[in-house]
Formats: sequence, structure tokens, C-alpha cells
Amino acid sequence: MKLDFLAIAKLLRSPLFLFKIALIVIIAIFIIFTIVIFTQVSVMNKIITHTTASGILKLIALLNIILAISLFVIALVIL
Amino acid sequence: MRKGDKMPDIFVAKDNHKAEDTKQKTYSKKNDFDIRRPSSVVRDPAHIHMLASFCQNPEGFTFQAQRPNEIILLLLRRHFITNLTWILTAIIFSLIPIVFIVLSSRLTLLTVIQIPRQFAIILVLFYYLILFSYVFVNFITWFYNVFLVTNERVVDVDYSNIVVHNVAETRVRQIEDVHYVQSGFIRALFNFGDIFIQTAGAEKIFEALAVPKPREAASIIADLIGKEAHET
Repeated sequence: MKLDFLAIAKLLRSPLFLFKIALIVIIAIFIIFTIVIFTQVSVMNKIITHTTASGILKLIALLNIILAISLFVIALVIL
Repeated sequence: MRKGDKMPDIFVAKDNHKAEDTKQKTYSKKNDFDIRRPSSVVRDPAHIHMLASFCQNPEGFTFQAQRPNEIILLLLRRHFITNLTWILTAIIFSLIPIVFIVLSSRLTLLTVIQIPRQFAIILVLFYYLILFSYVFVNFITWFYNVFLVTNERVVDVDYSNIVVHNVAETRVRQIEDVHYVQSGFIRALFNFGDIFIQTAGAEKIFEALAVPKPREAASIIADLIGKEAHET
């Protein structure tokens, strides 16, 4: 199988393709950030616990990760 | 006095006192920790919910390394009004894409910027996700940044950043001085200020910044000074 270098070079020159790659990379970094938020919420829940709020906050942090991963998958599919 | 009459006054009164004494003794044994609470601490139902900034005898809150006999007397957070900046910022930023969409349909200038539809969808979704995270991070920063006063110690949990948190504590017997500062129009209007606790420990000064009712909070802490030393 031969690599079509010309096609790849043409694709790399396309601003939309570069924008797509940049966007996917930024969303991937954002996923890491949401994981950090979730970890911090878990740590803080150990330091201060509230019977109701701790569970809700952890759930929201988890929802944030799920939304970020979903966006990453959607971006990969539709872009 | 008739023959059948009794002289109940003295004896009945004595019996009543005995009964009261017994009751008081039982009460003091059962509510040993209630007695250790300062007299100024009164449970206010309006200020004991989980989002309260000034919470006396909070229910449902526990903290790491809390001893079985330790009771949280006071929980302080920054006044909710201090969150107004990020709340307003979030509201304004949430309206920007809507304004942009409305304007782009009316103004021909904005239609020059053309991006494919799928890119626009992903960008808008990503924008709102970032905004959601911004709101959430600011909220947890406010929620976990607490100042706890227990019957044994003072615990200051500083959660200044998403990756920085600092927990400091001091024994009540190490508290040397408590004072508060309330300056400025907004602080006077909403009754919040800064409390500073000087201690003899490694962490010289404990700060509770922008907390509501600083005078009451400072007096509750001041009531505790030297109390633990007498009990132990």
C-alpha cells in the first residue's frame, strides 16, 4: 500500500482540517480537566462530608466527565 | 387542724426537689456535650441548610479526623453575595451565542464568517460545556472553602484553586485572640467581614474571609477561649 503524500499534504494545508484536529485535541485536554475536577471533588468529600450535598456534587462531576467524553466522540464522528 | 389532715407542705416539697435533682442529674449525663456548647449558640432553622454561609450546629456535616465526641458548633463560608461576580459572568457568557445567532441573521457583516454547520454545533456545545465547568468549579470552590469551629478545635479548609487545597487546624486552648474587620459599603450592607484568630500554634493566624455576621461568629469563638483548658 502506497501512501499518497500529495493528498496528505493537501489535507494538512486545509484550514478546516487543522481546525478539526485542534478542536479534538482541545476537547481531549478538557476531558483530563474534568477528571481532575472529579478527583478533587472526591478528595474534598473525604475532608468535608455532607449527607446530601457530597453525593450530588460527585454526581455532577461525573456528569461533567460523561458530557465531555460524549462531545469528544460526537466531534470525532461528525467533523 | 382536723384529725385526718396531713402536713404535706414540707414533705411534698422535699419529694419534688428530690425528683427534680434526679431529673437534672440524668439530663446532665445524657447531654454532656450540649452543656459544653456556648450559651450564645442557638439553632436557627433558617441557617442550617447545606448552602448556608453562617451555620450554627450544622446538621449532616462531618469532617476528616473528627473525633466521636467532637461537635461542630459553627460552620462559616464566604457570604453568598461574593459569588455574584461569577454568577453574572456565567449569565452574560451564556447569552453570547444566542445574541450572536440573532445578530448573524440580521446583519450581513457577520455572515461573512462562514463555518460548516457541524463545526458550529460542536463549538457551541463545547462552549456551553466549558461554561458549565466554570460554574461548577466556582461553586465547589465556594462550597468547600469552609471554616469550622468545634468544641475542641478550629479547622480552616482553604480550597482556593481546583488543584490547591490547604487544611489547617488548631486546638481551642491555643487560641489567643479573636478579632474581626468589617469595612466597606457592601460589607456593611450585607453584614459580612473578615475574622482573624491569633493562635500559639505553627499556623499563627487563622482567617475566615468575607463571612456573614462576623461579630456573632467572633463572639462564639471568643466564648470558647480557655474553655477546653478548664474542662480537661
